[in-house]
Amino acid sequence: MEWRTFPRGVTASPPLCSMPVLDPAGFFARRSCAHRRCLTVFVAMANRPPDPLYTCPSQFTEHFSQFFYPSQCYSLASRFGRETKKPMVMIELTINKHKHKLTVDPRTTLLDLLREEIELTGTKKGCDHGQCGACTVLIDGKRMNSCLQLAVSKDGSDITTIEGLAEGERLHALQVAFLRHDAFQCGYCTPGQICSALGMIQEKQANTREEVRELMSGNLCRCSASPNIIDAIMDVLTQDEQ
Amino acid sequence: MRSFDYFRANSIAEAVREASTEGTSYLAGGTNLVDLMKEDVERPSKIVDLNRLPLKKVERLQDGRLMIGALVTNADTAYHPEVTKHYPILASAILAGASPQLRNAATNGGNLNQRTRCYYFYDTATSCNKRQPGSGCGAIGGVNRHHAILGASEQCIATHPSDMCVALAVLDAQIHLSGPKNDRVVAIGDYHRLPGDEAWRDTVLESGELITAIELPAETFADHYTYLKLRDRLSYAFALVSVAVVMRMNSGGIEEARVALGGVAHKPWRKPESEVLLQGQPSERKFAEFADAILTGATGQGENNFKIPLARRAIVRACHQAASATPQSQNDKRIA
Repeated sequence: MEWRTFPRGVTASPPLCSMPVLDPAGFFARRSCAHRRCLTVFVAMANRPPDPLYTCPSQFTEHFSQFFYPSQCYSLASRFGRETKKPMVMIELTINKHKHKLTVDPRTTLLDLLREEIELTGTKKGCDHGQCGACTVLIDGKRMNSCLQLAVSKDGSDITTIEGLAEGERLHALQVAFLRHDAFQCGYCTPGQICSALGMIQEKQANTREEVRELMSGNLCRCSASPNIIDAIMDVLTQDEQ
Repeated sequence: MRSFDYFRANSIAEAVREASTEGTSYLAGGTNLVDLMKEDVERPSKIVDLNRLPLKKVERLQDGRLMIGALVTNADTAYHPEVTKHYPILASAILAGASPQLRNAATNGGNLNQRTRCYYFYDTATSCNKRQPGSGCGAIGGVNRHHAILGASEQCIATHPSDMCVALAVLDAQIHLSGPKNDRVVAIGDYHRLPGDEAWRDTVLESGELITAIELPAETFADHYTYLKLRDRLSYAFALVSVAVVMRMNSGGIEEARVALGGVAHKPWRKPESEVLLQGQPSERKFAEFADAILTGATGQGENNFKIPLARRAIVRACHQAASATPQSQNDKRIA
């Protein structure tokens, strides 16, 4: 048994699908979390025979697509012997200077691709709606919310994630500054903060502390580390100027 | 997210042809569409990706007009030297909206076509005539702090969320469209609709039509302007009330003034016939008279009643800012 938490993609209505949410075999159960932002999905995946409830492959895929990333959905479907039509698209991405040829479901966001396919889990999923900035990466040098970018539409792009900043053991100046200024507590927003700060410095629009505060407003820190985060960024910004 | 067919267009003609299938959505920056697809509000059966189309240029024409491509990002527009120099109100309004990450991805065409942020529109468990025609409006009599005070109907009281469009309204921008039948140009004032009985139609865009460019007239208003945005947080929040003002001034005072309001209606709200009230020597009384005129017919929905006096004061303050050439800073949020 394993559990995973997914951001809420589907609300109470329309019903998740026409099939029962809790199947009699106990194969699949769903429970909403208290704040309605996510569905906590309990899945028992191992060694279950295909359930007679899921007879139609398309329904099977549709059903699971509400809870899983497409790739997981297909692997689940194939695991239980349901061949499904895969509307896959070939793309090529350069991620942290490495070229990747990938076949993706068009629904896959860049964030899910990075975390689930490339297994670069440094980029974090916070709200999954472009509001918190935890998923910020650099796409062709520009900072963007990777949760709102479909991977297919970024074909040919050059992506830099938090994993791509250090050179071997040598940390990026921003990473050093974040350590020196204790610019985090839980650390969940940190990769997004650092990528965003790097993008901001390259944009060359922020010079004063006030401007940095405004231009970092797309990254939320719920541990109240923001003053230290701004200190760390100002440190690097003034170093750059010297 | 529901599954869809994906098509990457390489030319405008190809995009328009591919979009003739029912249920097709165009994808540009994705910042609004992808979010709405995750929320199950938008359910396109096919997506035509526009990102390879050659609509990414900002070009000044011989006669002084500025053509801004539909796929130029909000950030590139706001920081473009032609825009900051000649149309600073547009730069200011764009920088007042969203976050830097979103502005880096979001395009100008998408900004024009973004959907309302009404909670009921987003929550598929509630009724909303915009999302599901005929289901009713949950916001009327519901949670409506952010909703419209002007031009609303009994079907819908949603507001248009854009800051950029409020600036475009005072600049008299023209929207260039390409469609399956013909190409056409629509004035910004006619582009967005009031909800009326067809709340699901935000704009006059016909099925398959595509924005190709935003045209700004040669007249620039670079000296006397302001974009004053009032909201619940100082940054990264939608407007409760916003005011865009541009003025042309001479020795006799205000020669011409244009004012548009954001966050108060289903479209950027302008009343050009009342703008003559602002001509002459600037004075508090004149600004207040104009504010009363543009807010004629304003009706609160309960939780948003405060917007009427707030808008009135914001208009007066913004007119002062524009007349005295002290535009609102989008970094320093203190209101001068």
